[in-house]
Amino acid sequence: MIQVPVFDPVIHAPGRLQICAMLSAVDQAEFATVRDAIAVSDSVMSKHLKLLEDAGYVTLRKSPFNGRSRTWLALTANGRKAFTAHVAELNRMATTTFQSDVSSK
Amino acid sequence: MTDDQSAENALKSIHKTQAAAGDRFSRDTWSYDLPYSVLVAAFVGGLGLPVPFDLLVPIAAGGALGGLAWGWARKHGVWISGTTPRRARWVAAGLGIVIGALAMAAMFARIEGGGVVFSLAAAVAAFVAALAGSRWWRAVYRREMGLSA
Repeated sequence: MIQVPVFDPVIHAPGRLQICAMLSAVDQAEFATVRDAIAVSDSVMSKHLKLLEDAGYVTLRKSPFNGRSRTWLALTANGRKAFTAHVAELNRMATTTFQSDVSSK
Repeated sequence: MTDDQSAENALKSIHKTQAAAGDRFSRDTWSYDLPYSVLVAAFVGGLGLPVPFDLLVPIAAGGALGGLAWGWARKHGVWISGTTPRRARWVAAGLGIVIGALAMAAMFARIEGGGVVFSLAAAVAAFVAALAGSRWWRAVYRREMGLSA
């Protein structure tokens, strides 16, 4: 299925783009794993997740482990769709730049 | 974001993050694939065993498979069911069909009185299929994630 390119400002912020990129490669990822991968603090990570969750792009699931609670994150179907559309738009923009660079030479 | 260089940077950032996530899950995986294949073999072979082992062995193997997957996800902080990305999904589906067919054959052989020898043969075939399938799945997954082999 071809995804229609759509720029999504909720996804595009660097931290959220990385969160969505990581979640798009897996089914679920643990909060700390994603936080460490994108090198942000707990509070920054939580703010990004709140925005993504409010947009309906990410779900959070608490799971007890060794007496502590671990949070698992996953992209929703809408989130996966929005991320794919956003990447398609980025590709379109990058291709347009390349073509205009070539034609201007 | 409006400038096009930023689009390129964003794409690079996406690729880098996806590669890091995929790498985390798909490196040094013999410690998962070998026990996984043994448990799949036990599950399939168990279905061909006489009563009550035709029930006990598959249930134990199924439970152990769940535990293996759960432990792996805990250790690596990521869970991949095998249904994404697109090409890897087809490998997983193909493996599921082969294992399912072997499981059906083992059950059918038990009903027809095929004996333990057939059950063992089905288990060996399931082990080979599971190991080859899981290695193939990981290779396809790594390729789709843009990771080195």
